[in-house]
Amino acid sequence: MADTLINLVRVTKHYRRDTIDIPVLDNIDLEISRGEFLALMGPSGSGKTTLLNLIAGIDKPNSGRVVIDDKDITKLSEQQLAKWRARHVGFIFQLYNLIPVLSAYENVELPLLLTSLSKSKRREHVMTALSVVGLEDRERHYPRQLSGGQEQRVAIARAIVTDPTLLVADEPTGDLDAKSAEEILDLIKRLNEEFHKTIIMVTHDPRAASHAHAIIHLEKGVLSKSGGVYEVPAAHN
Amino acid sequence: MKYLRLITKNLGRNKRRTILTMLSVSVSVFLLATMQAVIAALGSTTQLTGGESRLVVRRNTSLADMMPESYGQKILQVSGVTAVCPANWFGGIYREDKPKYMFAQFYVDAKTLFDVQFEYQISPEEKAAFQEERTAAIAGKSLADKYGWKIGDVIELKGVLWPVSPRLTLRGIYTGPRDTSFYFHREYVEEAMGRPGLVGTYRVRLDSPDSAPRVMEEIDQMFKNSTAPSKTETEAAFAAAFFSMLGNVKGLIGGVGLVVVFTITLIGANAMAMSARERFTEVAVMKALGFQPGLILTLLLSESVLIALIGGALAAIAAKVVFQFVGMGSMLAIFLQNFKITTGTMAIALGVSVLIGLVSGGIPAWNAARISIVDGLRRVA
Ligand SMILES: Nc1ncnc2c1ncn2[C@@H]1O[C@H](COP(=O)(O)OP(=O)(O)O)[C@@H](O)[C@H]1O
Ligand SMILES: [Mg+2]
Repeated sequence: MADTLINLVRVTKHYRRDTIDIPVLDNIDLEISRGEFLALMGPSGSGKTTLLNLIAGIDKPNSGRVVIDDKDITKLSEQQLAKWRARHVGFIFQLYNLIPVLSAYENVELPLLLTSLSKSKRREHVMTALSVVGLEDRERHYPRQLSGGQEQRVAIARAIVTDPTLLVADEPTGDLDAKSAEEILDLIKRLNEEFHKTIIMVTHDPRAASHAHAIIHLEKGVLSKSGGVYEVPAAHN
Repeated sequence: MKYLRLITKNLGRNKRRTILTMLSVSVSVFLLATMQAVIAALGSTTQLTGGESRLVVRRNTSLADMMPESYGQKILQVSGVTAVCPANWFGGIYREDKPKYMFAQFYVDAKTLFDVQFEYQISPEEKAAFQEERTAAIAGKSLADKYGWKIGDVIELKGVLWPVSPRLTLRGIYTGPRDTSFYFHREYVEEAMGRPGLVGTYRVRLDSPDSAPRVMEEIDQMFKNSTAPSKTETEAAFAAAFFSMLGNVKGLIGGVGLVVVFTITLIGANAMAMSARERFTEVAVMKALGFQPGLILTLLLSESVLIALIGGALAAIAAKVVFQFVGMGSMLAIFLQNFKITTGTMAIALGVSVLIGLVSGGIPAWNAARISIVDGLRRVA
């Protein structure tokens, strides 16, 4: 058995609308190895985002355990969870979600404000992250002065600036043209290969998914092996 | 401190809204500062200085010109006048001819002084000791404290206007709203100069502030065709009459002030709520990155407090400038003694601004800080 980073055990999640229970995830078991690049596919409304949110520690299941790096994060308090996310998770969103009033530099610096790093140390980290995504010359630009692809690269720099273990990406190319999407996918792949980030990427797009080592499908709240693998092999280092 | 940039950058998010909110706080705080100053000034007016029930009669030409002693009895005949005291400015040198030794010295009729300056507080023994002894003097408490005088001290003055250098014994110390004057016997100077019988001013006590306009008119009419026509002035009768007319003006002003501040707080709350609502997704992202709700709350509250504080500071400075340097203060001072924007008023203005910021920003910031990350992120998607 390879080095397991993420282990979901009988995870169930449902939402309640008025009196009706909407089941979203039904008794999910999932194990993901350290260094994996996993694509999560499935029809709209199948619960992909919900599953990703549970793994990233921004949502809690109704039952079951979410164990990450041997820690059951469902047992953490809100405060502990926030600290945990700041250290271990990088977020990449479909709509980039940069803060519009902050420059590229300041957006990337944002997670570092929560650390005890000095201003000059923060600068070092920010510039390193920006250079990884190839935007060190855009540090003063504001989100509205950047293209969609560039915005997503800034967002990726923000996600990696704290050097987290895990990157979660929810349809990171969903709002981009084919060329920019390809650049972003290459970048994400590099983060996995060169920087050994464990990556879980939700996507609609089979071409995007093909960049990943493995693909799992989610349908009607259940993980299926069809067309992909259920348990995925460890990345080859 | 590293978060300060985050706060200031957010102020620039919607500049027009920020500036409008700031200005609305400014206007309300400016009004409040003005009202507070008016109330303070009213307070000091009603806190009896005695000035509102007193007139001063002098020559119509110059303060240096004198009136005959006989005027005193005639003024006392005017209805509404309850006491008259002749008082002359002495203006002698105490110790040295230096500003730090200068103070107001009057030689007066010791018998009627306290009838006119009815607000002076002095013990019956000291009062009697002063009135009985020709070379006695009294001083206000502030003045006595300034030079360290005690009862029994001998005070020598060197005459400048008159060739008389009195050697006086301090027999009493009075207290009162303005206790900075020095009084001694008119008899002393009159006798030394061979009784010229000249009076610089008559201090006149009225039965009521309301009598002031009529009594002033009658006194000046009485001496109009004499060789020494008079000019009668009021200390503050005008202000007193003005305010007795307005009735419970303080309560009214206070009420209006509260309503204004309350309204502005609501307007500010609305602006802050709009601003926070637009940022739900951003707040959710920041929380996902690990920002704790408490920190989000602090950042958002700092924003609204900063907006209100800048607005309030502008207002406080504006009030200070308008009422002091531009001279509106002195215009208003005709009606209100002691009308000024004090440091206390400025502090209240800034305090109220902070409060407006906290209250108006409080609920929106609290709501924003508590949103669920998942819901916040779903708003766009
Ligand atoms: N806060 C919520 N309240 C009610 N239902 C929700 C909520 N969030 C998600 N859902 C429902 O859960 C299901 C799964 O949603 P989601 O995980 O976003 O799917 P996907 O990302 O695969 O499109 C959907 O049917 C959605 O309507
Ligand atoms: Mg989704």
